[in-house]
Amino acid sequence: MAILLFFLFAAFAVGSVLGMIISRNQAYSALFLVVAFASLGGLFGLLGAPFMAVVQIIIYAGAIMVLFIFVIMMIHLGEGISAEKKKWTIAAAVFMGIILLAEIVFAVKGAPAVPMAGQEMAGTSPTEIGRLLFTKYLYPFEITSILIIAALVGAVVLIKKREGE
Amino acid sequence: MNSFGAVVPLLVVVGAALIVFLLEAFLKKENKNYLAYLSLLALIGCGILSANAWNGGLTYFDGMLRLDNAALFLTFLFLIAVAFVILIGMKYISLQDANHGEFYGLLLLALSGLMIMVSSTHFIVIFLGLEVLSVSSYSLAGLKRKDDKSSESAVKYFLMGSFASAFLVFGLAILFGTAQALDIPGLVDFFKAGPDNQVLGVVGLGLVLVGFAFKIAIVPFHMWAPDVYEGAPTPVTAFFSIGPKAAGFAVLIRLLAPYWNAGFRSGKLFGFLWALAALTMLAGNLIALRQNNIKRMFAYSSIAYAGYMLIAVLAGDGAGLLFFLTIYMFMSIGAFGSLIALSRKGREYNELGDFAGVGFKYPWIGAIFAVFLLSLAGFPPTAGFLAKFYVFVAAVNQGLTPLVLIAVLASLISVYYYLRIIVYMYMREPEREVSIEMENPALYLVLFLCLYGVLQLGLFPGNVLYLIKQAVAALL
Amino acid sequence: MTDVFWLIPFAPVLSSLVLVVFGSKLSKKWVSVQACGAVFLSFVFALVAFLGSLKISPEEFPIVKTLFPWIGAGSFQAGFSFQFDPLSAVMVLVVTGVGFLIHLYSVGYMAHDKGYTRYFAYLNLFTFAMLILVLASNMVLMFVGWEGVGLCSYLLIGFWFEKPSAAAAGKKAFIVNRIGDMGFILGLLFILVAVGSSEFSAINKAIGQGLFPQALATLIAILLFVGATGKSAQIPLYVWLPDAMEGPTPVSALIHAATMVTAGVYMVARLNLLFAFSGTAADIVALVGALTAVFAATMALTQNDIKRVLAYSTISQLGYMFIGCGVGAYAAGVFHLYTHAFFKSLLFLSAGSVIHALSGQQDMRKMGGLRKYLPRTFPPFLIGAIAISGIPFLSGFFSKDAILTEAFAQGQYFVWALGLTGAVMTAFYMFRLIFLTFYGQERIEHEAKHHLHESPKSMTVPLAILAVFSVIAGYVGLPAVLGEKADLFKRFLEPVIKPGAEGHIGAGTEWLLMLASVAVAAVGIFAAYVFYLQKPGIPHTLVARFPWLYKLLYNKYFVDEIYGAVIVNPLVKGSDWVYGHFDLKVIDGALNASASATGFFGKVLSFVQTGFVKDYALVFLLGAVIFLGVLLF
Repeated sequence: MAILLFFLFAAFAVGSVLGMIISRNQAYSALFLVVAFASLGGLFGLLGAPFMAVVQIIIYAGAIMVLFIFVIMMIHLGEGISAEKKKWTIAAAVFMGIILLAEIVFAVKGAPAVPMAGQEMAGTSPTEIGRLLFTKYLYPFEITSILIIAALVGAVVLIKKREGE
Repeated sequence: MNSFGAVVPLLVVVGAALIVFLLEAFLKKENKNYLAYLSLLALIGCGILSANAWNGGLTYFDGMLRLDNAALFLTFLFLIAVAFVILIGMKYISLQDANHGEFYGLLLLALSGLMIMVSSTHFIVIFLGLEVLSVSSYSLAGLKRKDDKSSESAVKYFLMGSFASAFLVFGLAILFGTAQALDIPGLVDFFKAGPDNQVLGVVGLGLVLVGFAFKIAIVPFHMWAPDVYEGAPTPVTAFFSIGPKAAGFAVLIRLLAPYWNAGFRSGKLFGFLWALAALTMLAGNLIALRQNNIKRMFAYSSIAYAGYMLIAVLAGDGAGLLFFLTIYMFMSIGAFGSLIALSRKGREYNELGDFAGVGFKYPWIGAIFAVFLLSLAGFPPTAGFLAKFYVFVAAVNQGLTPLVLIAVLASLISVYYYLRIIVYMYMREPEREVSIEMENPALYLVLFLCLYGVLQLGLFPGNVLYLIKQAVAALL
Repeated sequence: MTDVFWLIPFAPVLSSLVLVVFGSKLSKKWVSVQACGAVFLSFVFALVAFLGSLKISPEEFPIVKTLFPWIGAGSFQAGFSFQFDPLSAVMVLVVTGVGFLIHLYSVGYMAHDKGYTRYFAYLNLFTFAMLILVLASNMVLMFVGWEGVGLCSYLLIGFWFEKPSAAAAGKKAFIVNRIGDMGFILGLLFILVAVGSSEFSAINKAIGQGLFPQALATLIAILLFVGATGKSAQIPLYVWLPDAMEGPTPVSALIHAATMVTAGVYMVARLNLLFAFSGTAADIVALVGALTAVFAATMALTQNDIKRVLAYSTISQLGYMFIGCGVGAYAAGVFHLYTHAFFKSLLFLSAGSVIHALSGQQDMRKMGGLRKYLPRTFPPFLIGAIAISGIPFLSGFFSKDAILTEAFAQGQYFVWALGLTGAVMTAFYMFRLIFLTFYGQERIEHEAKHHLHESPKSMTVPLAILAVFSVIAGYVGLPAVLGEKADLFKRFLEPVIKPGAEGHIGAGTEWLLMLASVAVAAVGIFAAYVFYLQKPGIPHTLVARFPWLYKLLYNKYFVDEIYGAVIVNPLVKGSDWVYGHFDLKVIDGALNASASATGFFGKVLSFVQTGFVKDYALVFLLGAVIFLGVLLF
């Protein structure tokens, strides 16, 4: 059953991400991304990380993507810009993507399955995660706040510039 | 000093950035220079606080924050670099119509990213530091409000940077999955123990290195650099040429020097990086030959320089690398500063043709620029010569003679395009009218200090080498 | 007394700095006084140090003065330190002495040039670098001087940059020299790794203790010699020197005849223990020197440009110096360096005086009969020509003879024979030059004749002084047949150059060899006399008879064209085939183009730099895929 669900979610994740990339309509792309996030949430759930699963769906699929879709619909950018097409570059990209995939599959296959020694499933509860974030991972956790500030200001800088034109 | 005391220097920088962002909204246009003074004050404060930790060699937050001498040395280096960039930028920002507050604030945030990166051996922290740096850098590249090239460079940098980050994160995930560790000592122990799943671990390591190769602009992960260097405001370009590069190399030497020592010096990873170093030096210098835009030329030159620095990493020569980075900072900021000196309101002179006859029209700027170019070309007795020389000697000692041969050949090629600028400055009649804004004391101060650095480090490197020795003792 | 030696280099550099900074505010007169005075001051210091050193016992050499520790970390040390010993003494005296005279001469020669200040600033910077080169006590510092003189040479060759040929010549000199420098720096790195120090004393000690495998010594010596062939214009890297004549004539005299080009010889002599220990390397040095001596002399036979004849002659004479070093007669090699500095700078400066008199004309076909117009230029010129031709009792005879005798004594008969062949040609082309310029019918262009005038005093006085030295300088190194102690020069150099196993030949043989030298010189001069004065038709008959030979020589064996064809053309051809749509400039022959050849690679590489992010990502991806592939398989 778990195996079946895994493949289901995985197929959804990969398929919807592909759809997101290929689709010309930005609203469709955004919706595909919602599906992808939801499927990823499912995968996290299957891996025994319920907190991650829920966070994935609530924050990404819920809050962020809703915002995205609002923005897309409000400012209506229309059809995406059709980039100049060079067939051989697309072929090369696909080809190399496949090779990269093959390489990683090969590497993973060669590796024996290692149980998550000492950490098996511990620290997956919200309490446990919270405790870790404010003890062991306090420093990186606080750094993320700097990251967010930088991202916010950066975005504003780039947007404000557009207005100036 | 407790853990919270240890982050105060970082908090000073971040705090100053926030205050700058706030004040930006309230200050009148003619008072914007106060933002620069405030930023400089923060840098000095951060420097004094950091100096207290020298020779402490302590770690905090469960080993996540590591204030060893190597980290502190690099922090000082970054503080000086950012101070220089702020000073050369003050006038430039108003002349080229960019926004003061954002420039200083984002620079300070980028600085905090650099500090975070170099003062940790845990990859979660290093990655977060890298992202802080990157995100600030993307916006810094796009600061010129009405310049399309500037926006273009920001977007390109952002896209390529995200692409590279994806590789980095994926690699870290694989590493964590196989090695159960993300701190460098733990990773090295894992590889030293040599379990069965090492192949996967090495692939993870490879992906991480790809991510860093992007940041330090190693061929073939370098392609963003010329476009971004050209489009970004020149002071920002000066920052790009040293900040991200130095931090990336610091992480690499922290990671790879113990890795080589664990018995992997003859492995495939080593061999591939060897080839990349050779490719980087040759390609960087060869393409630079054909550039007529000086900023692009410097971009390729900095790519080639990454190749030389990679030799230091391959030789496991931490001291040589730090010395090289220190010298490179002075040369590079000096060279970009000289470029800025040759600009006026709304106009920059970046084409080779603009430089014809400049040596006679502006003899001081020309002469100082020439010194930086000679130093970049590696002429003794400027510091640029010693930098390469140290690294080459260390490399030959490690049996990397063929690579040194390539490096010498590559630097031989490089002389040609550096001297080409000098030839234009001194041996050509001016092709077009070049008039520049002369009143820029802060810039001249930086030029003077960089000149002093280049000559001091070329002739009397003793004191700095002594500090570096102390710094490296912590590294290995 | 000798302790002042470390001050020698600093007067010129101070002067140069003053000229750069305040040059525009100084009057021409002060520029001249200041620039010449600085070099004269150096000369005085050098003289004082030299006189002091005569009283010092040989064991005390070298005297080392460390100004400050320079490179002090890691596995090796190198101080910013100078050393003084007889070899450096000879070099600093030549550099400052001849240099001063050439400075003086330049005051007159450059009087009307708008780059007057710039000229002296470069010239003094050069003097400084050259003095660093010869005084350095370690190879790293020597490399500082080595690069410095190269840079100044480049600046001075391209001094008249308005002339495209001058700019091209500067570029060519620079590129060719960089190839040599690569050999130098690699040799230096190997020395550092093998010895752990680049101090000359440490290197010699390591060789003495046998810390070196011989193969390594040979490798290092050959790499360093590659550097020497670049700087001293030997086969195969000599091609830049004739083009370097585009610079002002005093520069040709100082840099491209008397001092900088001897840097390679100096280095080989300085490291004589290394070359002697290797053996193989020394043989290579001798052979390259001998081949260059003859090869360059043949090219000098047919040149019509007065300065180019002298340039090829310089290459040829440098070949003799390397013969001396190669056969183990380092003292003789340095001796020739020292005498050559006088008579070659004399020749160049007199040629400069001729050119000056003819308003810039350098083509000998447009001279002739100048003897009576230039009464103060002709005698020095003649003395120089006699000295270089190897006529007894003038300086060139003693030094050249010392080299050839030693080559014979060492059993290097082939080298000796080449040297002798070169000597005939030397005498021939020098007197060809004299006869074409000063004798025969006047072929001067009307315009030039109108302005024809003898040069000012500041030019002719240095000529007279140099002429005196060209005559007497050889008497410090008399041949061994005149007594064991006759060769003062050699004995003076003994603290640096340990006399090796000398080949022993009888006094009779030595007299015979000397006679042979004199005979070939006489033959050469006589032939020139017959060809160019008595029966001026002969050269034309010969050209008509052997047109291919003449063409070969006149076009300098097409070496420039061959370098172009072998190095440049294949790249251009290949590029045409692969990237036909690129606008490739077809490059005019010449090695000048090697820079364009590397530029071609740049073009191919920037082909992928399209400006599209997706292409960048593609290359990135390719790199990552290959990386993982390498790690996995």
